[in-house]
Amino acid sequence: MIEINYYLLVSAVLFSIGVIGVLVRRNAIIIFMCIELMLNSINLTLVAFSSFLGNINGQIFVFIVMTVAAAEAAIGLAIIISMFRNKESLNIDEINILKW
Amino acid sequence: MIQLHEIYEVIPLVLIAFAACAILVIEAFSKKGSSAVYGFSIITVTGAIAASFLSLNKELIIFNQFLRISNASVMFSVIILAGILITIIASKNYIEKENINFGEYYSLILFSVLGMMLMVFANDLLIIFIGLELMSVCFYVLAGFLRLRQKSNESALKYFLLGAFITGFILYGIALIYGISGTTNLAELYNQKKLFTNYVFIIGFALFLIGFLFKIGVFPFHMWIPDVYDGAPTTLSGMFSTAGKIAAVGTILPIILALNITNFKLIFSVAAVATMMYGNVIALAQSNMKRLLAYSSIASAGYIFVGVAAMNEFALKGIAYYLIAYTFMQLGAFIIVSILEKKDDGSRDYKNVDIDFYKGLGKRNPLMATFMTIFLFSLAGIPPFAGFWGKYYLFYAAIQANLIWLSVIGILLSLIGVYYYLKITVYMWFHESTDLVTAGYEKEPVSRSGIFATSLAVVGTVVLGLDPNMFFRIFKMIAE
Repeated sequence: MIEINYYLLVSAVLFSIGVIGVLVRRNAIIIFMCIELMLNSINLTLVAFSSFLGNINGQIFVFIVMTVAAAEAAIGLAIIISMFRNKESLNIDEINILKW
Repeated sequence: MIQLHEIYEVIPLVLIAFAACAILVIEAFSKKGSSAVYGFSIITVTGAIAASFLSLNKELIIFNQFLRISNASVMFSVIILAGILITIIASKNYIEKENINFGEYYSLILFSVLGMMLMVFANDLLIIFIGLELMSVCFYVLAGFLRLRQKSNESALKYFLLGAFITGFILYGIALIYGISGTTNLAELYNQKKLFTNYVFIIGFALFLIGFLFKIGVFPFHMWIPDVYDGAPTTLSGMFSTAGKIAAVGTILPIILALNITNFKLIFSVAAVATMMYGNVIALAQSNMKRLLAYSSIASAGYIFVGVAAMNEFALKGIAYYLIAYTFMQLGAFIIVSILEKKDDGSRDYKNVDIDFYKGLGKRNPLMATFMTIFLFSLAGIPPFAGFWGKYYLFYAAIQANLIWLSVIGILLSLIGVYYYLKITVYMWFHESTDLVTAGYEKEPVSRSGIFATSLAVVGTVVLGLDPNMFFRIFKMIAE
């Protein structure tokens, strides 16, 4: 049996990779993929805790998180497409009409 | 066990959920440009407000302990619904003007309301998460509803990327809270006494809190607000700044009060000061009305957080009062901006939103100028209007909690705010219209629905200002 700490460590590392990706990457779709990575690392945390505590709630939560992530993906890609149609670019440094 | 009669306790939720789905069907079978959907959504929201009063003075935990009906949550949901009602009434004219007259508009609004109401009724972190996402996902779409405009696209993309990023933090917070306490049920969480001695729990709770600070727009997490409100369709900016924020406050406030986290007091005070300062000072430099109102909404979040920092029984009262006053005045101001906005002429940009356009408005359109003056005075906190009492109760709560320095700073900073609100008022009444404005834009008649919506907001602002206790008499509340 693997200790829970290892799972938590892996998921914390994954979460950090996601956060760093959001902060440093410049393409809207890659940023979005990094956000999905964050959500999946959270799923890992929830499942690890759920198994550790012997409590099913965490696993139910994971299902909800996955559903919400799918809904968010649909909305997000639609927004990115409508942006691309108007602007022909997904580089977030060029998305700069609105400032101050 | 879920029992059937529990459905009676959540009639408003059921109504809204049913209507949101039914609108899509009605839209499919009604003629293009008919107002069937519009009327249907107004009737539903009115019905939901009326039905909310059925659940007053009950203290219930229903649906397998997932929902909790209490006076505070009913009150927050009524405030949200009141804001939504005004938004919907004002919307028809606006979306026709902008050529986005689709039924999805109303459906998305109602789905987002469902999310907000779920949030304020939630008794479980799971429900809070679902409600939050339902609200946010609808908001992302609504912000980008003018899909041919780059500004609207940009606001939607910014809102979406930042919102989804913050969702990650909220979820990680929930995961840590669950891991330490072994439950996602709020009532069980409140009963565990020693949670705040555990660092992992504190980190989890802080992450959870950060997400809500983001949604409310409190200092370090406020940068998205001006951009999103500027780019989104104007009536919807009004809705984001009122209903969306109220839902977030209404969710997090009972949790903060119940957990009684006094060691966060200083953090909240500092956040409140920074937010008020940032909102009021940057608003001085704005030349765009939507942006100015966005910064004023940041400043309002600061005032609300003065109350949150106080964390006593006056705070809940003060925040509730401020929120209802804020709904009327902020939403009213945004709706007037939307009414005065120019019809879409294919230029794919918002026209007539500069503050220069407001010069001489008192002569061109006296009614709207009068209403705008009332809202701006109320936002500035000038006595006969509701905004004054809102700030009064909040600062009173802070004084009762021995945070005198905080209320002094708050009052000084809200004096800075008076300058830019009065600047617009002076522009409207004491300046002549510049040629640029009058030559290009002839006067457009204001639609009846627009006048009705703004009148509702004016009545709310004035009546609540003249009789501040009326509100508390309705919801015989919490304070005892």
